[in-house]
Amino acid sequence: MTDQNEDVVNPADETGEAFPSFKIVSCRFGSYIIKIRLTPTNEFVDIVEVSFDSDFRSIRQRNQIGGFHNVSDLYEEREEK
Amino acid sequence: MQYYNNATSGVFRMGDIVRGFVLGAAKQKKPNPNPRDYQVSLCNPDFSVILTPCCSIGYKTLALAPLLQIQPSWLENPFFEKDLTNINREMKPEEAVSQKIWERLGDQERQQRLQSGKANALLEWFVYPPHQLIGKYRLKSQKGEIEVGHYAVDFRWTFRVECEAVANKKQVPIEAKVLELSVEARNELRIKLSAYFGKVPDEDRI
Repeated sequence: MTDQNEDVVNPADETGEAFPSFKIVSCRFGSYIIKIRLTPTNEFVDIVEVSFDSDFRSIRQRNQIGGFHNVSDLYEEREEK
Repeated sequence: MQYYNNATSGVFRMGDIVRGFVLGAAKQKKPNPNPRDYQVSLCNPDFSVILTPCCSIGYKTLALAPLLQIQPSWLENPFFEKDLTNINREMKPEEAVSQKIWERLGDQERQQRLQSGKANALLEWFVYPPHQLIGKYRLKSQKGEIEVGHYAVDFRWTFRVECEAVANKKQVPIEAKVLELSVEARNELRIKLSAYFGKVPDEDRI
């Protein structure tokens, strides 16, 4: 697992009553993004989703500073009269 | 993407929206080794954003930038109007301006810009999406006066404040904290800040 993001959710059951809080954590694993459900104490519950990561860059490459679009001068604020 | 955490942690993090800080700057017409003519300008914005990296928070000092209204001209770009937080992420060259401006650029300039592929634009800015805790405001746009809930920080407007209560990341005046970014949103802020400080000007390119 290379990096992960957390979301805290309180899904409700069919009667509308809330389940105890779970966290859904997204983890990158090779070419895949796996979302797993954890309890607030980080115990594994189940796998929510497995999807393909279309961003093939490594973390180092993603965070690398590249070029930029020089457009600041193309946005003109009109002065109020 | 969820931009704000539902519950805030009990520490200060980079990207946090805080309130109650006074921001100050010295104003001079020009620098002078023996300054005699200068003014001190203070402001107390409703909200500010912490720009000190998480691990460096403490030592009774914070880097803060005021939370500002968005620039109305951004709304003239449909890609930004659809989602103003698109400003925070890399985009294609043709997405960085409106179709009208893109067509006005000319073939040669368009070709040059297309070569850069996906990259950041408006490097000085990071947009915060609406949240009930930061409220809305009226903005005069091309389409008339509208209600807006998005705010933005301009990295050029970074102030340093001294605060006795900021001893370290955990010993802070936590009552000043209003909202905390999610892990993903904070990573976007970190990357945008890196792009802002790390851009290589044309005159330095080899």
